[in-house]
Amino acid sequence: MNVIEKIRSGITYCDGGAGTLLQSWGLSAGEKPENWNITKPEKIIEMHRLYLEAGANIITTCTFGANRLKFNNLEEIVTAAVRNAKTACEGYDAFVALDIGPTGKMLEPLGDFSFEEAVSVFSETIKIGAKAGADLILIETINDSYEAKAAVLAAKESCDLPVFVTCVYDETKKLMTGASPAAMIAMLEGLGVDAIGMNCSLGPKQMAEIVPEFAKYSSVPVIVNPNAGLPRSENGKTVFDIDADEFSDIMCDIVRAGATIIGGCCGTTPEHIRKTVEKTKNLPFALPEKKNHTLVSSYTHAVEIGRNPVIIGERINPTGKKRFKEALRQNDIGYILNEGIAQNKKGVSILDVNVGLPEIDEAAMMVNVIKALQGVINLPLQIDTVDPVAMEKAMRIYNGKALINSVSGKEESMKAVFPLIKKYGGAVVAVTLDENGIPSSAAERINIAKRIIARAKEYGIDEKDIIVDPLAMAVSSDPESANVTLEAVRALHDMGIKTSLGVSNISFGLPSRSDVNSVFYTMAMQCGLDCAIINPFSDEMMKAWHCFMALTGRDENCSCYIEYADALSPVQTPNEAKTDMTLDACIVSGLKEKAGTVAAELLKTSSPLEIIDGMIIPALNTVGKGFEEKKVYLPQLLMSAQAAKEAFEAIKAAIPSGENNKGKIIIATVKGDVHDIGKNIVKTLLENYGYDVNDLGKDVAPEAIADAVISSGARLVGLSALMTTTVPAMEETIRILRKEAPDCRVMVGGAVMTEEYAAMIDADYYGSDAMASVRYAEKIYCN
Amino acid sequence: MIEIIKSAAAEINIDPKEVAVYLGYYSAETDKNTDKLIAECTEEFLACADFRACYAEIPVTDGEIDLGFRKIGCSSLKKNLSGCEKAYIFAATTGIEAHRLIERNAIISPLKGIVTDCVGSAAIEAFCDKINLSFENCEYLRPRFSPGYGDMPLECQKDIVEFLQTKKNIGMSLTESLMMVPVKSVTAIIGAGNEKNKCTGPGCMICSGINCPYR
Repeated sequence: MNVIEKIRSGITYCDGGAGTLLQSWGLSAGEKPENWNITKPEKIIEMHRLYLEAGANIITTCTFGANRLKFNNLEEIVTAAVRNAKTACEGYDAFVALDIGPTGKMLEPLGDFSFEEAVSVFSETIKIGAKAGADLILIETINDSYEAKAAVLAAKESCDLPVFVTCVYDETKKLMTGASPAAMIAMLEGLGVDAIGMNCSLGPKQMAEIVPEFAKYSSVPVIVNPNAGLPRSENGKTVFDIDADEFSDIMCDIVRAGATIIGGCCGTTPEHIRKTVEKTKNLPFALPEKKNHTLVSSYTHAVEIGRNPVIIGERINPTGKKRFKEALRQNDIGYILNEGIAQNKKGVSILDVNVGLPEIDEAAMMVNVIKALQGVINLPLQIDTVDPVAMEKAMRIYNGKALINSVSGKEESMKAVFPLIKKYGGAVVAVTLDENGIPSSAAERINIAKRIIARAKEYGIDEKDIIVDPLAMAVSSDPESANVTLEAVRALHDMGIKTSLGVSNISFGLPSRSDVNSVFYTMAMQCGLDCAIINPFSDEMMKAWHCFMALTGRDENCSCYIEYADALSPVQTPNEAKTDMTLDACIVSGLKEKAGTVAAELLKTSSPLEIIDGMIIPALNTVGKGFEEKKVYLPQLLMSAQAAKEAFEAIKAAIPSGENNKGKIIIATVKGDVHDIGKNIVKTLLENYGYDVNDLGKDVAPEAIADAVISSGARLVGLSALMTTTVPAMEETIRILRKEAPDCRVMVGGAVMTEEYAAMIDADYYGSDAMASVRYAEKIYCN
Repeated sequence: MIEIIKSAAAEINIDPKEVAVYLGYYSAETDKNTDKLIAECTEEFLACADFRACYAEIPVTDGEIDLGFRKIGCSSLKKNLSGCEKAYIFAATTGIEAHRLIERNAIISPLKGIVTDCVGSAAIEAFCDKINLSFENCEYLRPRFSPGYGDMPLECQKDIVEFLQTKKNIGMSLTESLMMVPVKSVTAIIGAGNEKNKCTGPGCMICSGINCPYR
């Protein structure tokens, strides 16, 4: 019997804690237990034997922290650990799990540990363990969904062994980085994990409360390995408050709630396991039923498709958007993130991400945008691309289970997309077209849908993860098109197949499109449409959704509708829009909206340059001078900067390009430094003063900064460093700049910088604050 | 043994005046718009924050601390710990969602970004103060002393993070350049003794960075 057959045949028992046992045998504080695999193998074997004698079927190797970041002799340690476990298993019907713990590092984008580096670190340990003869891989005590994904991918790419994953949940029933059980189950099942569950941090009582969540969503066996309650200190020793009797009693409840693989974690002993085996071995056993929830997930939560209509925000897409295309060409990730944040505030549940433009590297841009979005927005994403390379890269680094847009009935498309879904997990939008184009009847579109679903099954992809888009086509060119689409939506819904539509195509070529779109949207929802890609900034569309929710009994007490309608009420009175204030007064007072209105009004009587040089810049100078004299403070300076920016935006269209450009400046936070608030302030002020600022972001390599300077011909670079540890990177950047771009001046700033420090690393100028950088830029570009 | 503490956001009192100090107002009066913004960002921050801390008590011998795998001792720490029999090795954080909020607000506008950042600084200080107060049952505490203060090397961050297993216990880790993630986090050594002297004033006053605006 192999381990998969074992877990499918009855309750399976894991071992318990190692630390307490090894400490009682002399392991000192700060000593790494993994080393005992080599120095005291007999103790490690003894520990395994105690658990085997207690009834464990799966014992875990003593390799929790065994990775190349912590051990130079990794191969020796892991090989010895597997050997010790196998030796202990002789004579027992038991399996050896290669234990994989967390790296202790925080992954990008919030940390600096790259996803691929994490995959590589895990792979190295797993390859050694698999070669040494482990029977399965147990990835455990993980408190970050992204790290779990890296470890699972590493396991899948390094061996053919079964993979079990247990994560650390706290009292809030979430991981430390925010993921719910449903989010973890969606992602891990998508990745093809064989058993899923939880371990550590909580005792059995608290875990018993989380098990129902697992039972509800998981189609694979559920693992529960609790601590022996909560730890406390007694005479300098750590003791746990739940003894073997109480522990094993609660484990019975945990089995009844649906767990089928059970054991213990910190503080549990062979006695805890022995009693647990005794009391639970005769309880009824049932494998989890196959669940039919269509889930997509982010690093915090899962969104279920098929309950309430789900809104997918369409705005991260360059089609027909000049400003968005410009942002893509200029690598202006901030602009794209703002589009995401604004849609999030409008109440969308999923964000569509399409960054395809012929002149850019779509795959690289897709990866950058997804990483950046996942740094600040916790919504699940829909990866929208026709490029299979971009699709795979995006799916690989995505933190969760993504929605993929799209696959079609064309053989070529299915061949490209389905292997990716199988490997990385995901739900996929299936558009009903094939080599013969888009059929005109609903029945034919449904046939394509059925064919796609059948083909997906051949790849091992479940029907629940296929969301059919029966395609909305312009009603202006075919009067039957709406009827056909709606008929298909209804028929698919009746067959239990999930549906999605890009709604706005329906109104192509017609006036007042949003009216047509919103009525069609309502009709489609009434036919059972599960999700729609829409513009959430359209009040008509959002009204349609809110009204539908209220009218179909999905909005208790209509409370969401009431809240939405209240927020819609006009707040601006006609008089308020007009103001007597001058533009410079608006800027000095930091009145953003008014500054924009007044500037637009002024444009009727003055030229853009008169407004800029005669009003905006003098106003900024007034505030800047006040800041330098410490009469105005940073927030006020920035409020004025925002007001000036608003005024610029209002008159931007009227400025011939390049006319207000005072010069190019490159700014960046140096390699190793992940904080950039100060740099962003500098950027805002420099832009206010008319400089063309290319912001390279944070953690930027010296070579990348030098390349940007050379290719742009900028005469000034601003570098920021927050910590003494990153100043050497700044020094190195300056050294390269001196060599590669000797005419370029370098100004530096940041929390640790001083005038002396700046001189020491060969900078041209130290800016103590943002205004100082403006003054220096004026000096450079006025000469 | 490592103790882990969590606090509800409602228990953390963020003083707007403290935020204003971080924003550069020091003792100057803030204007109405800034007050409003501080209040708004404070509310947002508290809604996201997940206050967690962990600590362990260890003996102090001749002003030195023995972590088992490494001893920490340097002249300014010795000065700080003089007369102490024990110390708390301490780490605290405001959590990953608060980190994301600061990043998100900085994208929306640099103004909102800097105000949220300063709210975060005030929040983590308030949280540390609250926990440290709970230590003061039977002994007097020295000011919090963090890696990077005086001649205590920043590299000691690694030792503290490893010793307290901060990634596992409170979700805090270090980057290669020793920055803490989540961003609003603190590590410190806090001496405890029976003498009441040297127990007032912020720990950072001993730092050799005399240009620091927060002194």
